[in-house]
Amino acid sequence: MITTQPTTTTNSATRRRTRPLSTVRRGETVQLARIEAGRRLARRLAELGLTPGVSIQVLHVNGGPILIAVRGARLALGKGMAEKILVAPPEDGDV
Amino acid sequence: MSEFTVALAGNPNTGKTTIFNTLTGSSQHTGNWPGKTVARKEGVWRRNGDVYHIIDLPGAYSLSAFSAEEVIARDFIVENQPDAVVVVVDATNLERNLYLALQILEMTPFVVLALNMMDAARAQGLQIDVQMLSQRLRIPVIPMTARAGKGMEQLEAAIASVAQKGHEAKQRPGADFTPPFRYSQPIETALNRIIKAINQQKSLKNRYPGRWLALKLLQEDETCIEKISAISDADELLALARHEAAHLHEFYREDLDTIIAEERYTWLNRLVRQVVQGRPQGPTLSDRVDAVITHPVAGLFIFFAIMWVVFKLSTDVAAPFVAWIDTFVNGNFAHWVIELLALAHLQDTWFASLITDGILAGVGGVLVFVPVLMFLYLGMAIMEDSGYMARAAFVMDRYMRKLGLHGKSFVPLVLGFGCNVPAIYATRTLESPTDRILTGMLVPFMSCSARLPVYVLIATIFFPQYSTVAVLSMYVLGIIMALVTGLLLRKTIFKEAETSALLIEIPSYRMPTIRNVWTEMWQRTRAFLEGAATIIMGVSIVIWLLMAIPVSGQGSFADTPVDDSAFAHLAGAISPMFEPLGFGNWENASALISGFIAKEVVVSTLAQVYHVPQEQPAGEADLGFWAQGKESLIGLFRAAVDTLKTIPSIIGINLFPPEQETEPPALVTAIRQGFEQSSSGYGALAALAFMVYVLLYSPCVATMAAQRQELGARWMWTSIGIQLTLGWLLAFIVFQGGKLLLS
Repeated sequence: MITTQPTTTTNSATRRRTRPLSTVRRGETVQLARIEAGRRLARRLAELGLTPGVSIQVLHVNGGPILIAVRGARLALGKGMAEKILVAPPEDGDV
Repeated sequence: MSEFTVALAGNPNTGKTTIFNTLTGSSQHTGNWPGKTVARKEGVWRRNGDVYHIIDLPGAYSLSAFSAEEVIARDFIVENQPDAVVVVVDATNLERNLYLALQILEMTPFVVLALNMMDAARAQGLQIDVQMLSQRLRIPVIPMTARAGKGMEQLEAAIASVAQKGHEAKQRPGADFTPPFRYSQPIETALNRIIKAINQQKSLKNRYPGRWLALKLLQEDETCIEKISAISDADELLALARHEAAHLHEFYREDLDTIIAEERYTWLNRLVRQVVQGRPQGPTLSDRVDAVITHPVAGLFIFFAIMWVVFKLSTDVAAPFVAWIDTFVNGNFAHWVIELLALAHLQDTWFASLITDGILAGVGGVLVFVPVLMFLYLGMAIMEDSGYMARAAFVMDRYMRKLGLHGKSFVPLVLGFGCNVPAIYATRTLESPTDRILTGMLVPFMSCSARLPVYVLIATIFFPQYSTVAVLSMYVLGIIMALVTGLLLRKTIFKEAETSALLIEIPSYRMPTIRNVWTEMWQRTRAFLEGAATIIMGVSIVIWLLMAIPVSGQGSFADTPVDDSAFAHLAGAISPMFEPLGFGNWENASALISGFIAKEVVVSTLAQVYHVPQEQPAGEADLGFWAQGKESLIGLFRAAVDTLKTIPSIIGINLFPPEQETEPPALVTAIRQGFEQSSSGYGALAALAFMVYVLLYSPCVATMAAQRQELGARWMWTSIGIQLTLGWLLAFIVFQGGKLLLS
């Protein structure tokens, strides 16, 4: 299921301590570090605006699925999906 | 006069449908895309003597062939090459919406951007520099509020002018165009090398937009590779693309798809920052409402309350209209037809019987679903148009997920308790075909309202003290069987299928427009009439034929007692199948055969075959033609009044009708004797097994027709097979198991 190799991109978020998006609490804003999913899903999420470095705000949490704001849009993500998205604390001057 | 083709593209919930409805009005035609269960909408728009064929592409967030919708939208643009593509975007959500526009601009330069929902953008304090946006994207940008009809004229003018240019460009194919956006240098270099290789292949050069094809090959897009392998000698080209992709991967050390999406978004983000002033601060009104609607507890209550209303709409509120259609078709209308037949001296012939008992019965069987479906689609259209459906999926997801289903699966399953037919059509809201098929196969286990009279009749005869418990346990058993079957199917047939995890956009709340809701209601109901009517009619005629053919006795064709008809003999032939279940006589088998057509007729068939005279409704026969017509109109009016009366009762629970009809004692005795005989003394057990069988075996022809239309013939047959097997097994367990326990 995990296909991404350890990435050494210039993206600063990946160098900080990361955790899955599913653990982020309601109201918190975080920055996307990387997505650990198959190529299809990773591409799908990227096309919905979930690209490395983007800032994500968790709006609502509903037991399993979460509702996030990303690039001005609202997305509902299943729990399994939120577990595959690794995030880091935000940095200033991000998208 | 010229003819043009114009495609409408856009994310879901951007008002694309509103623009389509405004442009095409009543000239719409709905069908399915070839080989897909995705609706295809097409319509004609005329302007200054020119004809524009407008094709409404399925809503999609991107064109990377992730879902059936995306493949259809993408293929249409590159294969059919419309003269113009209108991309509808939500002005309040530009960054995300323009992503699709950017992808389309890599396929064709003949694009018009409909900047919709300007009213909402203004209300949020957003100012959009339309001119700059147009310059940067190099296409006409039309600010508009489609719901209020604002900006339509400008959009129409822009479409006409761009379509004209696109049409002319087709005369000189292969002309290059420059998209507004460029990737970083290494990707561009790779693209140029691949474009050069493509241009050397004559079969490819003018067929696809070169830059787009090069990008798809670089991304190793499977559908694209398949396509070009079929039309050209692609080995060398593919090798080159693979080589370039590997090279880029080494350079970026990241997945190329992600890099490409990231670069597009980075460009769009900068563009939107330049073009849009006054970004909204803090949570929007929609977000604040969602704090309640998507709340783990409150959200559930709201969801159940809304489901209850939709359920009531498609049952109680629709019921008076159903009754009116039923009496009209089988009463007055039938009388008129009989009078007409009499004028032609055809009364009492087999032909008259075919018309009244075969065809008219079939017409009635189809038409009674119209009010049910209209009210259901009313509820569904409001739920979808307002943006609530996406929230419902979010709220229910964690519960349905445990059953291997999608959050939205809950809606069809609940509707199934009213009627399975609209419930099957309601599976359309599910995006993934696997979820749609799985849900559509489980719907028949939801005990629909037509099965209730059978339980009530049998339970009051055999379990007079416990009839309520007996009836309720049927509902519970249906739910349990749905759960078990769902999990079994997930473990077997759908083992390989990807569980489509929840990933949906939550649109802002919007007031549904009457026009959209009405169009949606009418289109979908018409699709039912076109798709399912033939099957229901056909089966109705086949049953008539079986009833008409005398196999024994003195009767002639179309004038034979039921006992002597081919129908009774067929029932007799299959009745041994039901012997181990305790109800194997030809009378019960006939009721089950007609129940295969529609559960509504099980009780009346039982009455017919057990020879209980049915009371004729009084006051029908002697009215004249005009009096009958008047009667019908009054009936329609009463139906409307009755509907209004039921609306308050939506809130109250009313599972059983207050005035229960008492069955004639003769029928009770006959049925009791019939079951006692067929089960050699275990009448009550056989009756319980009969109820279980009625619950589980195929609900009706209309449900099968709906399954065929929505899931395809293969899944319809699979579903029927599962129901017949499961029904038999469970009834067997109940009867034989019960016998063991009792002895």
